[in-house]
Amino acid sequence: MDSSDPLQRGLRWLALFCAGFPVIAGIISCIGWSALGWSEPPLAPGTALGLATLGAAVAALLLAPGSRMTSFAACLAAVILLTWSAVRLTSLTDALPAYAKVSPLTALSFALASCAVLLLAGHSPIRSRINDLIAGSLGIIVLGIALGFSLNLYSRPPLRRNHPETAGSSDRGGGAPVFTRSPVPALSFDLLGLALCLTAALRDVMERRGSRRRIFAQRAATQVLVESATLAEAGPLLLAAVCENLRWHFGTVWMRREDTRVLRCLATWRAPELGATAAELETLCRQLPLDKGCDLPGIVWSSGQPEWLADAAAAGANDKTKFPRAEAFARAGLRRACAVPILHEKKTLGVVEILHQETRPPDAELLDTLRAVTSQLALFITRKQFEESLSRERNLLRAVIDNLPDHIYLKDTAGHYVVDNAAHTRFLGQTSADNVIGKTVFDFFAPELAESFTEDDQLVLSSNRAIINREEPISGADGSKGWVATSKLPFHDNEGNIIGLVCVSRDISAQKRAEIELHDAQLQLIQAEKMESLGRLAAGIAHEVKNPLAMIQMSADYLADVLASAGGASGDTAAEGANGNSGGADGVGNKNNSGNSGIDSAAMEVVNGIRESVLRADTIIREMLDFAGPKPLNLQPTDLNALIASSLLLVRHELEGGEVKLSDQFAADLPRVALDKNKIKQVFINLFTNAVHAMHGGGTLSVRTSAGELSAADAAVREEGSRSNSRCRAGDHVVQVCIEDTGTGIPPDKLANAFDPFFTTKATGKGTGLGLTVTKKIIEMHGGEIRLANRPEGGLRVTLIFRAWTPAPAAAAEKSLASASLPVAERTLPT
Amino acid sequence: MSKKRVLIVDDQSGFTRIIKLTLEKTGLYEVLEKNTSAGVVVAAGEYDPDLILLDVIMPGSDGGDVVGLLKENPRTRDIPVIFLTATVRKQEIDEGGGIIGGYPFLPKPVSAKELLVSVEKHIRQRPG
Repeated sequence: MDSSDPLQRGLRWLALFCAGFPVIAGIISCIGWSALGWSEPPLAPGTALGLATLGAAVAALLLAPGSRMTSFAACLAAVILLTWSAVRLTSLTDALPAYAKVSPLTALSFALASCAVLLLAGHSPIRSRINDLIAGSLGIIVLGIALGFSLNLYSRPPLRRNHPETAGSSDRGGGAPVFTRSPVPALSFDLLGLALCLTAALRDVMERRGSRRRIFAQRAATQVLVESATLAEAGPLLLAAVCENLRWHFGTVWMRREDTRVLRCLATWRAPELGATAAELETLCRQLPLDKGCDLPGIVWSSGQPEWLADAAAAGANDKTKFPRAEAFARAGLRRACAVPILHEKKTLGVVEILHQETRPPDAELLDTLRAVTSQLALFITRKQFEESLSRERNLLRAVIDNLPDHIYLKDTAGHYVVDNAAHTRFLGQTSADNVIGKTVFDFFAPELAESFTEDDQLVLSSNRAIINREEPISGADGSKGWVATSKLPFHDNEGNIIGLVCVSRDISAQKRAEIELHDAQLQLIQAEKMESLGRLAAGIAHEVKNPLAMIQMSADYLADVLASAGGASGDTAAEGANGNSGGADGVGNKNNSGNSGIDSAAMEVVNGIRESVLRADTIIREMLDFAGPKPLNLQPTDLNALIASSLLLVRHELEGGEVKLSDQFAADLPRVALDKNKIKQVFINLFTNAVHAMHGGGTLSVRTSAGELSAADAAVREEGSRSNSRCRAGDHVVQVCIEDTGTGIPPDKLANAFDPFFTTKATGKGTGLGLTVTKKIIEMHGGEIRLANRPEGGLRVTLIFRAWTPAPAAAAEKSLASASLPVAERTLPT
Repeated sequence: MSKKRVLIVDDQSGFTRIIKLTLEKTGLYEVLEKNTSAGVVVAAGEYDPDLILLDVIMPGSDGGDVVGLLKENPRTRDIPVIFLTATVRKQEIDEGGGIIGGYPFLPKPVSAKELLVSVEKHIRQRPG
């Protein structure tokens, strides 16, 4: 029984005094009254014995509350007295020895007091406030009886003389009064009754106070656990809450880790009054790992049960190995120790240990309180472990989805983003997912696109079926166009209700571009193969066609000669008519000159028609052959300006005949270009001729040259309506030739076919449709580029781009040119 | 003045026929047609032409083989030969001045004028 409260301490001393008085009176009555010079004992022997026994029992209960030994002794004494009283009260007085004979009232008082002692000394589990109440009541009754006699004693004259034989005796005549005029017996009973009352009251107060403290301790522990974020934070606070409320002086929390087989001290707490030695103990605890079965926490870990050491210091004195902290406990003045396991699903997670400076037997209610606290602590630990695990898992998942290049996001059924990964956040042009959460597609995309996405969402939600890898065009936050492949799946809760959508979207722009490029490349390949096939076919049939052509030409020439002869014309006419370059004109001439016969004239016209057709067929074959077969180049560093000038000279007749003005603008110091002069000359003649043919009734042919680095824009340009075959790259030093006419241009829908064989916009018979095809092939052979585009003001612009020739170190240059040159038997294209 | 003799060798009989007509119509030439490459050397030896117009691509021996045989035979080695072929283009012939590999070439189709000019240019002039 703690007695820190001064009032309690005073009451306790008073109670001890009250209990002590009958003991002393009893002892004096039995053995010391004659030595004191008294004529007779103050109490009869039976009364003295009973009072002394009861007083000692109550004093023992006051001095050592909770002690099993004390309780046992008090109970034993009370039972004996009760039995004795029962025997007296049941009129079996004769069975008792003379010295044990007491009056019935005294026996009744003994019985009541004995019952009170039994109730007060009862073992903890059956103790209660009711016990204390009844014990107190019994004490009051005893007190009342004694007071009644006391008053009776003093308010009435003595009934008999007070002589030694009768004084303080109990019953000698049956029904005689218990107490004589001597005040000692009544006073002894008064004080015994008071002692019982005080003891019961103190018990009750202490019980109630202990109960309150336990409740406070539990509440405080709960509060700590609710407010703490981690076990490390909660540990010391929890110990403080428990120890301060329960008035214990030292506490530790021990935890075991899954990866180690020891307990480690997680937290300690010490009462301020403990001093420096307790600080040493704290240090020792923190440094000392405890194996299973070692020291009190280890014992609790091993048994899984609460343990109580009435004197931990003494317990460890004999076995320092098992109790390594015993000396430290002793130095800190700590005696009583109690440890309770932190159990979760029958598994010991750790141990809570508290120590007190006073030794005391086990307190079941305290242990219950500690059990409740450790249960809460176990829940706290497991909850924190679960939260940590959940948090780790969540962080891992978050890291995974944020590190994936795919867009991953969740929407609720109303289309609001509820989860958004980093890739999708970036795609939406946002820096944080917080800027996306709660918004919809309408906040980020154009209305048409957003509508389309929403329709998909609704389809998935209504049909409960996923959309997998739907390819859709999309505009990025920076305005860039692209493609994504999106999968949308219905998102269900545990009951199977659709609560939203899980969407995974992959940027397939690069893949799409590659597909388009591949498609283009395939088309080009097909085109190239077509060309090659055509070339091989041309080469194959050329020989077979040329033989009959030769036959036809010779026959036509012969007939023309015959007809001319018949018409009186000279044989030279026929011969001239065979001249391919002017066959048509000669035919007409023949007609004019041979006007003797209408039939001959018509026949001559027909023959000339045949000869023209042969020439035309031969031209087609020749141009087709230009396609076929290998055409290695004879590359030489060439001045393009000079080459263009000489090409223009060759077409001067066409320019003049077509009333075409020439506007040239040649760049000075134009870098040379590695070219096969003859082939490039053929290109220019083709292009100039085409330009003249496109300008019916005259126009202007502009030719410009320039040099510089090819810009990225120029390198990448695929002008609307233009067709080019990019070979030069941005940054290349290039020479460009721009040829513009003021003619009809090429219909935009036909631009794409301009380089196809047999494509022509010229009148029937005017062009073979092979000129541009051959031109492009020659340019490509030079690693150059040709672009066609209609000029906004009318006419066509042809741009030729060549890499400027860079003089290499002599040997390399020679090798380079030599490798590009042809052997002697080079086949060249016609000019 | 006796007519010069021309041997025309081509597997197309129609073509040799029209060449014959064209050349003979000038009154300057007498033409023997031969439509296979086999026996050309024998025919040349017998006919002793002043010029041979020789196709290149023919069944059996081609024009090149035939020239080789002609050059091996002392009686025919000096007879001028003009290749008349569809295998070489006019441009290629023009670039070589009408001569390829030391032999004059005429491309098919060829005009009567070009034929006559070439024949006149290359026909053997016999002494006396």
